[in-house]
Amino acid sequence: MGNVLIVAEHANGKIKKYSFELAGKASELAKELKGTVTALLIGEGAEAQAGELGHYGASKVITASHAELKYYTPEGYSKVLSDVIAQEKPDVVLGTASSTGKDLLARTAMRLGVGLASDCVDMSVSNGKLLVSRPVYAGKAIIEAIPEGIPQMATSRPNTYPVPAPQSDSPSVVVFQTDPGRIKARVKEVVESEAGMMDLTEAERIVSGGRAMGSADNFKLIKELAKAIGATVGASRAAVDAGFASHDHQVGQTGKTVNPTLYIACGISGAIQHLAGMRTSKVIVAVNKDPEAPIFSKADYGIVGDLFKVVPILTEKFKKLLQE
Amino acid sequence: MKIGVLLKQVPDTETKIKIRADGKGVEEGEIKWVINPYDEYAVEEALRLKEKAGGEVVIVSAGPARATEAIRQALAMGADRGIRIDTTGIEQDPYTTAVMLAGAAKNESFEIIFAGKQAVDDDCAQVLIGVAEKLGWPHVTPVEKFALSGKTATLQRPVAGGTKEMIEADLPVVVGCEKGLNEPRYASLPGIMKAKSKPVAELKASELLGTERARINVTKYSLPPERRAGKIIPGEPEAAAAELVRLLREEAKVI
Amino acid sequence: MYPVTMSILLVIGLAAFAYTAFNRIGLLLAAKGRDPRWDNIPGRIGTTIEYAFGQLRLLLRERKWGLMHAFIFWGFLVVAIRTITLFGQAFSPAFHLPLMDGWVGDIYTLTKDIFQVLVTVGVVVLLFRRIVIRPKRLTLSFEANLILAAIGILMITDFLMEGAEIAKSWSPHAIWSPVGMWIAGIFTAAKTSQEALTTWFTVNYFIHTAGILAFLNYLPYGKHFHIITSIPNVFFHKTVPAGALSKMNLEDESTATFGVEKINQFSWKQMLDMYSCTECGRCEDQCPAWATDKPLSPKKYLMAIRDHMYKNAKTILKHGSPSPSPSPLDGEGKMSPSPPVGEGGGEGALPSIVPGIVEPDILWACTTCRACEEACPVLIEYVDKIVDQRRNLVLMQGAVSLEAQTALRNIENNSNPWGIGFSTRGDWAKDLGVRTLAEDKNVEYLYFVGCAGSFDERAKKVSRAFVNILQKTGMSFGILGAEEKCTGDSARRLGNEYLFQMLAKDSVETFEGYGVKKVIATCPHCYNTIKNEFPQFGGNYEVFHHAEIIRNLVAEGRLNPLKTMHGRTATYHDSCYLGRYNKIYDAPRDVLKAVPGLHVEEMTLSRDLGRCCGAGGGRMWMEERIGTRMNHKRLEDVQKTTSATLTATACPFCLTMLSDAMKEKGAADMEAKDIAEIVAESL
Repeated sequence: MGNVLIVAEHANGKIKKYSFELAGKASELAKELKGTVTALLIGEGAEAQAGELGHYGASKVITASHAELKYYTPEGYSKVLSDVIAQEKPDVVLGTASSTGKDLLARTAMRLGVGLASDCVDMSVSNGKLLVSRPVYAGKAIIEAIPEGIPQMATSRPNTYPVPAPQSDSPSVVVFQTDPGRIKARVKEVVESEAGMMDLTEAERIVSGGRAMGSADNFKLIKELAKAIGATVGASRAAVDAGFASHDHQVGQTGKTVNPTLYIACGISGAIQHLAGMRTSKVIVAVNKDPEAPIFSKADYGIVGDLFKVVPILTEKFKKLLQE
Repeated sequence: MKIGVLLKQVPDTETKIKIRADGKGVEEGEIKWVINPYDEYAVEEALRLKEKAGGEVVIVSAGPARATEAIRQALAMGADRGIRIDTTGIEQDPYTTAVMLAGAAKNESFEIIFAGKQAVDDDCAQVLIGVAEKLGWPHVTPVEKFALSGKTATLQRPVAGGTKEMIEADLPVVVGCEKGLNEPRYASLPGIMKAKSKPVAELKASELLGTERARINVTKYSLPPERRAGKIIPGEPEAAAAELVRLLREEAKVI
Repeated sequence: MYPVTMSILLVIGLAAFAYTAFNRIGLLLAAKGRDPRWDNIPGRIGTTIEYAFGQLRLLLRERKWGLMHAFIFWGFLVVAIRTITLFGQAFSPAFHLPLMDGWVGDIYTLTKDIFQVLVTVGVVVLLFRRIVIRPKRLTLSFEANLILAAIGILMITDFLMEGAEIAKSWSPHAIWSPVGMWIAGIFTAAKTSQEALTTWFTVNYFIHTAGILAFLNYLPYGKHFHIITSIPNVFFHKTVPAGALSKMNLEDESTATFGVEKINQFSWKQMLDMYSCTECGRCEDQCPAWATDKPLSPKKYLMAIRDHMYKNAKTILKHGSPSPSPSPLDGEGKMSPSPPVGEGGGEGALPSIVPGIVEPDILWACTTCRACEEACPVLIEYVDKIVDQRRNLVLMQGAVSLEAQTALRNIENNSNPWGIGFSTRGDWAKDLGVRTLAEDKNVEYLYFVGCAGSFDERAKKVSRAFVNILQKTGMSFGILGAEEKCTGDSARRLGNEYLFQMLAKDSVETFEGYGVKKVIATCPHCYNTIKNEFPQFGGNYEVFHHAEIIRNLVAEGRLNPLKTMHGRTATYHDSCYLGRYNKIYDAPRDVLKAVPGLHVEEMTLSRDLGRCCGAGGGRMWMEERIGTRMNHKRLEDVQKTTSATLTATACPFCLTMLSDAMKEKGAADMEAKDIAEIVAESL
C-alpha cells in the first residue's frame, strides 16, 4: 500500500491546470503503489472547485482555509501541510515545481526531516519506491534519484505530463481545521502587473525583435505575440539603437543576460553580441527571412520566412491554443 | 548587525560536464569553479546592509578545500570573515547541507542571513529554506527588492506571471536573493589582497551533522540526449506557424 | 653701455625665472610615478632633431601653418646669438661672440635678418589666423595673441636698433643687414639727428632686452612654456613600443594605491607632457571620440589635469617625498574616502582627479586609437595617462560600467569576453583538419586565433578562410584549441591590470611549454599584445599578422589569387593596433592589390590618419551611449571619400563595427570583409 498526497494550487478561484496534470500523474503512480491519491487545497477561494480534482484521479480532497492562509506563506502553509501529512500518513507527497510548490515542499520536507527531489522531469515507481529524474548543471546532466524518508517528496516540473481526460468521478471533500499561528513573514500586498512588464531577467518567456522589424510601429507585432503567451518583450541592440524599444529591453552582451524557458527571436540575425545574452535559453525559436542567419545555428526551431506574415499568424495560433 | 551569507562554489554554467565512469558523479578535473551567481547578489546585499547598519558580514560555505577560494572571492568583495564547513568525505544533499549550515549559523547568532535563491549546479532551491526551518526563522525567496527598517524587513517577491508579493518579515529572516536585487560589485585589487589575510575558520562537517545522513539517494548520473540540430519548419507561413505551435506544446513542452 | 641698469634687469629677470624654474622642476621631482627615460640616447637625439628641431609633425600635416610656426621656431634659434650679443653690449659696446667679428658674423647677420623677416611674416599670418580665421581646434586665448605680438615687437625693435646704428655710423658690415639698411635709409631721409638716433637705439634696446626677460618669465605661466619644455619633452619620448603599456608591480604589498587617482601619482614625464601642451588641438582634430560628440578631447583632458596640477602645485611640492598616506588597504572592497583637505593631510590634501577635474565618461570614451599621439607635434602621450587613471578606477574602486564588468568577469571565468565555455574554443576548427599543439607541437607557426576568431560566427569565417590559405600553401602551423586564452588586451586597456597579468602569464607559460617561436595572429589586438606586451612576462616571439603572412605568400608566388573581382571597388580600413601602433600599413594594401581586377581607393582618413572604428581600448564591450556612433562616422568616411562597396578590414573588431554600421545605416549595397576572405575567394 502506498498512498500519494498531492498539493494542489489555485488562483482566482480556479484550480491550476498543472495541478490536474499532477493529479493525473499521481494516480498513475498510486496505481503502481497500490494506493490512492489525496489532494490538499490550501487557502480560500477554490473550495467550490475542489471536486474537480476528482475528475483527474484524486479520490479525496482536503481543503484547509483560514484568514492567515489568504496568501501563500511558507510558515503557514507548511504547518498545514505537515499537519495533514501527520494525519494522512501518505507514503509519497508531490507538488508542482511552481513558485509556491517548490517553496512549500522544501520547507515541509525539512520540517519532517525527509528528502525532497525538486523540479523533476520524470517520476516513476521502482521497487515500491518513488524514483525521479531531474536535470542538474543547467540541464547538462540528468540524475536519477530516490528521495529518502517517509513520506518521499518531490516537485514536478509543470507541463511535463499531459493532462488526462477528465472522468466523472467525484471525490470526497473533507475540511481540515487548522490554525497556522503567528506568521513572521507576512504578505502585505499583491501587485498584479501585466505579464509583458515583467523584468527580462526573470521572464520565463521572451519574444524579441530585431532591426528587421523596420519601425517602432511594427514592433507592436512583437508586443502582441508576447502578450498572447504572457512573455516579456526583448530587443536586439540594433532594434534598440533604431529606437524601436528602450534600452531596458535590450538582450545581449551589453544588455541583459536572460535565461527563459522559451525565447522567440524575430528578425534577429544572431550576432554574437546578441547570442551572448540569450544562448542559455532552454528553447530558442527563430523567425528570419535569411536562411544563413547565425541565429538558426542556435535555434531549436526555425521558420525561414517573412516575419510580418509569420508573427501575426503565430499570435493567433497561440491565442487559440491558450484559450482552450 | 551580524549578517550571514550562505555561499556555494559551483561549476561555471559554461563548463562542459563529463560523467564519471562509474556514473556516480561528474568529473571535476576541468571544471572552472565560481561563486554561485545568485550568491553574489547575496554577498552584495549583505555588504550594502552592513554599509548602512554597520556590523559584520560572515560568509558560510559547506564544501571541500576548493570552496575556500569562493569564500575568498566574497571576502575580496568586502565581507569580513569566512567559515568553511569541510565536507570532504560527506555525502552532501540539500538536507545535510542545510543542517550543517544551520548548525554553523546558530553558533554565530546572525540577525539576518542572505543566500542565493538557488545554486546553479543542482538547482534544488532548498538549502536556504532548510536553514530557516532548522533555525526556526521565516524565509522569503526569491527576493528582488529588500529594505530594512528597525527589526522589520520589507521584501518584494516575484511570483508567476509578473505578479509581485510585498512581504513584511520580522527579523531574524533568511532571504533568498534573485537576479536584479542589486548589481554585485567588482572586487578591487586591495580587496583581493586583503582577502588573503582575512580569517576563514574551518568546521568539521561530522560535528555539525552528528548521525544525520543525506536524504537524496542519487542512483545514476547520465548525459541528456544530444541536443538535436535545430529544426527548420518548412511550409507556408500558415502551416509553418501551426506546426511550430504544435511542436512547442507537444515536443518542447514549453507552452 | 648700461652696466648698472642691465645688471639690475638681469638679476631681477633671471632670479625670477630661476624661482619659477625651481618650482617647475620641483614638481617634476615630486611626481611619484617612476618612469626612467635614459635609454637609447642616440635614438632620442635623432628623434629630437626630427621632431623638435625639424618640426616634422608641423610640416607633415597642415603644412602652410606649420611652416609659419617653423619660421618662428627657427628664427628664435638664429636670433639667440644676436640676443646674447645685445646683452653683452650693455657691459662692453664691442662685445661679440667668437668669430662674429669676421665674415662669419656677416653671414650670420644676413641669416638673422632673413629669419627675422620670416618670423615677422609668421607672426602676422598666425595672428591673422587666430583673429580672423579662428580655427576650431585652437584654444583662442588673449595670451597667444599677446605672445605673438611680443615676438613681433622683438623683431621690430631689433630692426629699428640695426637701422639706428647704421644711420648713426656707416660700416662696411652694414650691407649684410638689408632690413637695417632699409630702415637706416628712412632715418637718413627723415634727417634724424645723431641724438635722436641714439635715443631710438636706446629705447628699442631696452624694449628689446627687457622684453626678452619679461617674455622669459611669462612663458612658464601659460601654454608658451612649451617653448622651453618641448625640446626635452621630445627627447624623453616613449622609446618602448607604443603598444606596450607599462607593467604594474602588483606584488608589492607596500603599494598604497594602484594607477593614478591624484595628480602627483603621474610620472615626471607625464607632468612634463602637461607643461608642453601647446593647446594646438591637433589631437582633438583627430580624436574619434571628439568627432562623435563624446566629452573627450585629448587637449581639453590634458589642459584640465595641467591646470589642476598648477593649482595644487604647493601641496604637491610639500609632499614631494613619499609620505605616509592612508593605506587603501584599511578600507574594504572600496577605497576609503580621502581625509579632508588641510595642513598635514599628506596626499590626502590633494583632491582626486575623478570626478570633478576629469569625469569618468571622459576616460571611458577613449578607444586608445592613438590618433592624438600621432598628431601631437611635441609627442605627448595620452593613452598611458588615460589607462593609468582607468587602472585606479577599476583596481581601487571597481568603478567600471556593468557591461565592461560582464566582459571582465567572462574573461576571468572562460577566457573570452562573451563567457562562452572555454572548452569549446577550438571547436570551430574541428572539421578543418587543423591540429593543436597538444597533438603536434613540431610546427613552425602557432596560429593564435583569438576570442573573436574562435567564437564569433562572423569572425570564424575569417579564421576558416585563413586556415584555407595556410593549408593550400602547405604552411606548417597549429593552434592551441581549448588551451588558448584571451591575451588580455581589452582587460589591460580597461584598466584591469590584475586580470591582464594573470592572462599574459598563463599564455606565456603555455607558449613556452610548447616551445613556440613564431606566432601568427588574425586579430591586431592579439598581435600587439603578444608582440609588444608578452615580453614583459618573458615571452619573446616572432609575431606576424595574417596580412604579413598573406602578403609574403603572394610575393613568394606560393599564393596566386586568380579569380578576378573585376568591377568591384574596395577601400582598406586601417586597424589602429595594426597601423598606428605597429606601422603595418602596406601589407594589407599589398594583399588587396594582388587580387586581380579589384580596384582599390584610399579614404581621406587612412594610414596614420585612419579613423578608429570605435572598438579599441575595451570599448568593444561597452555601450556607446553618448553622442553619435563611431562606426557610423567611419562608414561615412567610406561613403563620402571613396566609391567603394567593399570595405576590407584586417581586424575582427573593425569587421564587426563596420558591418554593424552598414546594417544600421541600411547600406545594403556595401559589405565589409577581412582581407583573408577576399583573397580566399579569389583563389
